[in-house]
Amino acid sequence: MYDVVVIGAGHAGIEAALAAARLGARTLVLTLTLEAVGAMPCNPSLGGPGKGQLIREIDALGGEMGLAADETFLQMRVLNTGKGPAVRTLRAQIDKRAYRDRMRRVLLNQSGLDLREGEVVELLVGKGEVRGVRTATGLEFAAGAVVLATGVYLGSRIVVGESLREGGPGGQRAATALARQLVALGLRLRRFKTGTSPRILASSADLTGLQPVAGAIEPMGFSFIGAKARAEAWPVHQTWTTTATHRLIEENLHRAPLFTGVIEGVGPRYCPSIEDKVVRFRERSAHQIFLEPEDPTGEEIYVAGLSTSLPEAVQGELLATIPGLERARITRPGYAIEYDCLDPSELGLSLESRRFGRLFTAGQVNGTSGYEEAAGQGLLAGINAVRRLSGAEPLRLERSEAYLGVMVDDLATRGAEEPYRVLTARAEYRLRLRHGNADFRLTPRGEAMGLVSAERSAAFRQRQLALETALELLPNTRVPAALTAGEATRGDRYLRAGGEYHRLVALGLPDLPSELAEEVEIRFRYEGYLRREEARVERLKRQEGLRIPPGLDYRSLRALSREGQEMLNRRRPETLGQASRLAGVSPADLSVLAVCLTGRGRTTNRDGGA
Amino acid sequence: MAILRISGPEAWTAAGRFFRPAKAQRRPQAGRFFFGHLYDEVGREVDEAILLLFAGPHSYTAEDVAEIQLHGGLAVVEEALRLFLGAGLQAAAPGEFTRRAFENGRIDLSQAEAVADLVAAKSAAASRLAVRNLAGGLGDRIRRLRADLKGVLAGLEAALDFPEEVAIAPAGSVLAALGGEVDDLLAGYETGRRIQEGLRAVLLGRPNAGKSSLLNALVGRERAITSSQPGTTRDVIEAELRCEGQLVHLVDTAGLGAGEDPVEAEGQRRALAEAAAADLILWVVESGREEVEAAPKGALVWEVRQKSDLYPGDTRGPWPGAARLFRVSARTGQGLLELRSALALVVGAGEGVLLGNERQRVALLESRHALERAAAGWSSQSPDLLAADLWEALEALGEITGETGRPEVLDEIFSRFCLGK
Repeated sequence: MYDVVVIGAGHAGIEAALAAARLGARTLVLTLTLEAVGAMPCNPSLGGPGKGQLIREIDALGGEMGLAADETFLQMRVLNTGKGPAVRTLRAQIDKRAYRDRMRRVLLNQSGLDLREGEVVELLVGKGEVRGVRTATGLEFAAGAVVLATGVYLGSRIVVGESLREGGPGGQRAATALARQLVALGLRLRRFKTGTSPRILASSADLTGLQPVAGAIEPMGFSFIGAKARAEAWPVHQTWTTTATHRLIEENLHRAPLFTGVIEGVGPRYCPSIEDKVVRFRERSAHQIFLEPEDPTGEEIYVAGLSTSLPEAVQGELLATIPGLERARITRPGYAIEYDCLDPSELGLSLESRRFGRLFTAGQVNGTSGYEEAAGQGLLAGINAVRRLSGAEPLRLERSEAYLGVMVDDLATRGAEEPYRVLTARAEYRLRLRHGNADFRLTPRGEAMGLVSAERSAAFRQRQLALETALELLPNTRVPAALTAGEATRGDRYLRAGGEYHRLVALGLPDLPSELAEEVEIRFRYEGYLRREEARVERLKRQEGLRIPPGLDYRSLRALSREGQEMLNRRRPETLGQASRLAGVSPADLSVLAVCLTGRGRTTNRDGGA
Repeated sequence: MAILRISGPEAWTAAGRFFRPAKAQRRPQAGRFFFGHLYDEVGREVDEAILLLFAGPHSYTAEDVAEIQLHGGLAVVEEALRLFLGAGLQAAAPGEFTRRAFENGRIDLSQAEAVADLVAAKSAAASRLAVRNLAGGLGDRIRRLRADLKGVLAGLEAALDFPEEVAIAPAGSVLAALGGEVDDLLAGYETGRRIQEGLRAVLLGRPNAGKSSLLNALVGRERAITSSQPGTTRDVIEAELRCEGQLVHLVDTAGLGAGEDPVEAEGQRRALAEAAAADLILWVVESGREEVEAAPKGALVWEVRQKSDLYPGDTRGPWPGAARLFRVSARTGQGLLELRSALALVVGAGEGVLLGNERQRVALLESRHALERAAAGWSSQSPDLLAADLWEALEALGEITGETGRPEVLDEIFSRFCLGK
């Protein structure tokens, strides 16, 4: 008997399993193959806007992704440097083999965690709750909670031109039996589509004459702990499609599964295939291509920007029309993959299914895309699965607190119309959700959950102390006129006016690492904006603080509009705040609900909890 | 007079940012009021003001509350709002103070239910008004504004979320144009308010200039007591007047420069306060008299030369601060028709787009301030802050039409830009 069984060992499964085991739960991870633990079947890169912040948040809570990325990256750089700290973020090219090996090693060596191969064909269900799993080979494992993190393997099929194959990435078979059972259980499934680009033999590309995009020289990393490494800074190279590429695509549209009706799943608008780009943006004569190294031995290159499901022969011809790739040899063709995923609007904010108790779901099976999104959900699902066993309140992060909170709330409240990825544009409180303050936002929450190691706690306290010391000293520091190019002023005013912290170190302020110094600068320079955001957060918090009892009978609230009543009944929000984000729930409906909720609270108190 | 109410744990501090008590040594204390002035961010005086402080839970919202009473006109209130909103305070949503009161347990269930009814009823009324307004073109203009703004925002957001694929395009001039459009709508609010609430015209002048006689002649009845004695009117007297279908509130006041006794002094103080809050000052002067004192500055000033039948030889031009001169006689009715037509014209012809209420005006103001910040900072400000301003502007406009913005902007990003590796 296990406390927690995790199905799948991708990025969601890894974080779920590690979190559960580290919280003391006896944990089993079942994966189709040990080779696929922590695999990256799409771009070999982590981070970027929104995603980089997610990795920082995962790390701040005690997750694994940031540490693994820092140990295995080929190059890392800061994006959005000139666009303000709220959107500044890291992106890394990853040595995907090293990353996979490291993750497998960590799982195998984690105490309280068993990792083994096995295809789950059935969830064992009784009395509306999930009680365990059964594998294809007939083994049954009882479990206190199950985390479903099957990625794109539910009912998946891979499409390359006219060729169709049931199965998932890496040549694995699809988990078809499990998909069938989920439908039989009455869970709503959606059909999504995504795709990847061809890989080529690195030595067959001619990189001379292409624009290199170098990594940073200075050491940097996602994680708040661990040594900051400087990798060899493998460059990514940039090239472009040509009119010849576009002509070739147009000529072969009749063989493009996306246009012949073979593919029915909904693909992401932010990650279209090259045939889609060419057709939708006919006025453009070129599209960007990035050549991303997949490993440090220089064997394979990922041709980012050329996601396609055109026939393999056409893919070869396409590559030949792109500068630098004239003689490129494909090692693996690009493909489209269609898969089933669950409708995430059937989830609670704890990532527990609202249909079946003790069933948690995380990652692409929830309709998201992206390694970072998956890892973030995995971490929360793992934590909450364990908390479910002990009857503790689940960890719910607010939209104002973390991108993790934005993501889970978006999924649970609005569902997903296309594969979901985080975007900084989704965050209403973006100025607060910086990658540089993720630990200040979340490490205390992680500590309360019990997932933060002593090492991380100590590092956090040290950063906190340094920050507080600086904040305290600043108003009492006199900045001489020589520094201000004007009149002498106080340290806080100097920063407010856009001054740089490192110039104050000579005046007796602590010498902070550059990211922390930036954090101090932001707190003053962005003060007015942050305060305005704070006021909106306060308003949100009052709404989120009003919890809606799960069994509330909306039909008894006749003051509700019909549309509002229907939506509330269907989606069953957990808080007033969540209700406010549902389409069709009017401000008047919210007032009625608010009054009803505060009223219920009092009545219950008076009657001694009736 | 206007009251600004600030509620929340930082309310007192927030009020103290721009309010300075006349007696600097007085410490803030609950239940006290403080006389002083409101100053803007560079120390210019905005208005005289009275500050009242309440400590939670002994306040309406059960939070710390600061109330600032201003007696300036709309321009002063607008300036004060600009100051406080600019400093990071949030404008209250309709019914927000009441909502906070019940959220904080200040009022009980039955009261809260009454509030809910009220809120519901209010929004029903508001939506009826909105429907009227939408048909009248306000909605169209706001929607056009929002569409342009969403375009700018989508471009900026695409550049923030897809830095390797999209660069930030210049938009300062588009934003300035949008700001001008918002200004137009705000000007429409002035007209709208005057049409709904009526024009406030204050009769001001020296004792015995004939203000009360003029008021009576205009309204056609003996509303104010008149006599040949200077200083007959000692307090403020109001009368409603319809000029060609438009509503005008005529306000008669005590003569300025009258005697020194306390009642007269108070009468004059009130006269000046009325003048400060007026849309129009009718500066009443007795024909043939050499006027030494100038009319107080304030809104639009017209000079009305009363008793002109008695002094047909008075040909002096208008007092320099006055926009127009009217020669009238309350006794014979001479010139009154002309004055009434002119009043009707000031109220407004009722064309164009009209804002229905204060909430819409506050929303427009918020959006204008945010647009101004973004337009001014487009080439120098950090893009994450520009985006924050634009979202604020978009959301403020959305409050008027009841539309949200975020999903639409995301849609626009994906439809306009070719993104993704």
